[in-house]
Amino acid sequence: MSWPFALGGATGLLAAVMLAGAPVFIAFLTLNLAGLSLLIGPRGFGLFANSLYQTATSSSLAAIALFVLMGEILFRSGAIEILFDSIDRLIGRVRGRLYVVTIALSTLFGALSGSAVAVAAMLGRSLLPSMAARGYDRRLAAATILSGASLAPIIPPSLLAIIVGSMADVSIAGLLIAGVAPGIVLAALTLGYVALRVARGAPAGRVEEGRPPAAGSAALAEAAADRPQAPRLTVARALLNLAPFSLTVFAVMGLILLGVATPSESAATGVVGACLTAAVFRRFSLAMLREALASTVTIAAAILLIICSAKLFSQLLSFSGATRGLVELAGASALGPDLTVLVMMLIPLILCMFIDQIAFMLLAIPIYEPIVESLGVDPILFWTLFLINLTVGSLTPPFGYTLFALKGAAGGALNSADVFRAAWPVVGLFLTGMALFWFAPGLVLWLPGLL
Amino acid sequence: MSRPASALFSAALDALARLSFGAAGAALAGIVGLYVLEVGLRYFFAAPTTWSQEWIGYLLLAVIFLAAPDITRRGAHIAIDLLAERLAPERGRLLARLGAALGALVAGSAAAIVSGEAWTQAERGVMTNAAHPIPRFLLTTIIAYGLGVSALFFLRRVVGERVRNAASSEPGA
Repeated sequence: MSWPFALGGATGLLAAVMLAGAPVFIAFLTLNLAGLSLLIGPRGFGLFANSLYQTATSSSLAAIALFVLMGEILFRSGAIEILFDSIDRLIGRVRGRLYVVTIALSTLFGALSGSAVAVAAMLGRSLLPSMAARGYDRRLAAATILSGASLAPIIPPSLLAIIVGSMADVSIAGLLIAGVAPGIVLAALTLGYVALRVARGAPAGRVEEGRPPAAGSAALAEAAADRPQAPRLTVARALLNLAPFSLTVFAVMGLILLGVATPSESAATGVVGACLTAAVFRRFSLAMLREALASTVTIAAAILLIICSAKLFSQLLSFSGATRGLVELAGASALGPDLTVLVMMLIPLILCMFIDQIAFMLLAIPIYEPIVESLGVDPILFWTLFLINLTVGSLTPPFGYTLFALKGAAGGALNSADVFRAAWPVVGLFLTGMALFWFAPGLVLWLPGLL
Repeated sequence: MSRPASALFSAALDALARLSFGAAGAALAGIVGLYVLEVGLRYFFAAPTTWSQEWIGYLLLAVIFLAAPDITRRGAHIAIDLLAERLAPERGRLLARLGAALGALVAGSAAAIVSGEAWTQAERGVMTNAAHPIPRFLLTTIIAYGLGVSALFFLRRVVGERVRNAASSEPGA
C-alpha cells in the first residue's frame, strides 16, 4: 500500500468517525485496529495492548490530571473570587478598566486552567453581562475574553504544551517556560488594541463609586453593581489577598524555574499550593476537595484516554512509510524553511476550526516532528508557534470551540454575528504576534535558554 | 413482581462503574501524595525513593481505565458534535446510535485483544519493566476492564434506555 493512500485513508477514516459524533478515543481506536489489521494482522495485537499500557503508565502525563485538579480546587473553593476583587481594586477606577480586568483575569484563568474553552465559557457567563450592563462595548468585551482565554495553551502551566512536549520529544520544561514571553506579548498586544479602541471612542463604562463586581458569578456581579455602599477593599488588603495566591504560582512556576521540581512534580506541588491558598482564605473543605477530584477525574481521564488510544497511530504511520515519505517530500520541496513552516502552520489554522485541538495534535505531531527535524528549525520555537496556532484555529470564525463556548455562555448578551466580529481582531493580533515571534525568535527562546 | 434480569444487570453495571470511578479518584489523590512525598524526601532528606515513579505510572493507568466506564455511562467523552447539531433531532439520534454501535464494536474488540494479552502475560509470568516489578497482567487487566465495561455501556445506548427505564419504573426501584 502506498503511503499517500494509507495516510489519506487514515485521515479520511478518522475525520469521518469523528464527524459522525463518535467519541474521539473511539475514532483513534477504530483507526488503529483497522491499520493493524491491514498492515500487520493479528501479530500486531500485542503491539496494540503494549501501546495502551506504555502510554497509560507514562508518569509525565500525570501532570495533565494534576493541573486540572489545581484549577478545580481554586475555582471551587472560591479563592479565585477573592483574587478577582483584589485585582479589580488594584487596577483602579479608570475609564475602560473592566477591559483590562477581563484581560488580566482571563489570562490568569487561562494559565491556571489550561483550557480556553472553559475560561471563555466562565467569563462569558459571569463578566460579560455585567460589563454590558455597565455601558461597556459587548463586542470589545467579548474580544478581551477571547484573547485572554486563548492564551491558555500558551502560558504555563499548559496542558497542551505538556502533550506536545511528551509526543514530540521536546523538553516539557523548556516548552512550558517558552510560553511565558509570547503570552505576555500577546496580552500586551490586546491591551494596546483595547487602548486604541477606547481612545477612538469605544464605549468604556461608567466610573463608579461602588465596589467593582466579583467575576465568580453573574449573580454576585449584579448584586455588587446594585450595592453602592458595599465595603471596598483597601489597597493594602487587596495586596494581602494576593499573597496566598502567589503560593500556588510559586509552587508551580517557581519550583520549575529553580530546578527543584519537574513539571509533573510541580503540578502536584501546585495542587498542594492551591489547597493551602484555599485554606488561608478559609474556603477549604473535604467536600470541596471530593468534588474537585471527581470533576478532575472525568476531564483528565477523557483526555488521557484519547492520548492512549492515539499513540499507536504514530507507530503505524512509520510502519506504512508515511512518516519517511512526508519527510522526503518536505526535504525535496523548494519552498525553503520559512514557506514550509508557513504551510505547516496554515494546516492547523484551518483544521482547528473544525476539529478538537487535542485530536488534531495527536494526528499532526507524529507527521510534523520529523519534518521539523529535517528543516533544522528550533523545536521549542516551532512547537510554541504551533500551540499559538492551535488556539487561533479554535477562535477563527465561523467555526471554533472557543467561539461556541462564549456564544453559549453569553446567551442573549451576544448573537453569532457579535461573537464573530469580536473574534476577527483577536485572530489578527495573534497572527501578528506569531509573525513577530518567527522573525524575533529570541522572544520565545530566551527564557528556555536560561534553564 | 421481580425485576427483570436485564434491569438487575444494568443496575449492577451502573454500580460497578460508580465504584470504579471512586477508585479512580482515590488513585488520583495517591498520585498527588506520591509526588509530594518524592519531592519532600529528595529535597529535605536527600533520600529519593526508587519506586514512586513507577507507582505513579500504575496509578495513572488506574485513573484512566477505572474512570472510563463511568465516563462512558454519562456520555462525557470528548466528541465532535458539529454534524449532529445540524441534523434534525431524529437523524441526530440515529447518528448517535450509530456512533454508540461503533463504540461498542471497537471498545469490545479492543477489550478482547487486551484480555488475550493479559492472559498470555499471566501464563508467561511477565513482569513490569521496573526497579520493583509486579505482574504485568494485573495492569493489563485494568485496561481490559475499562474498555470492556465501556463497550457494555455503548451497547446499552444502542439498544436504548429501555432496560434502565424498566429498572427505574419497577415499584420500589
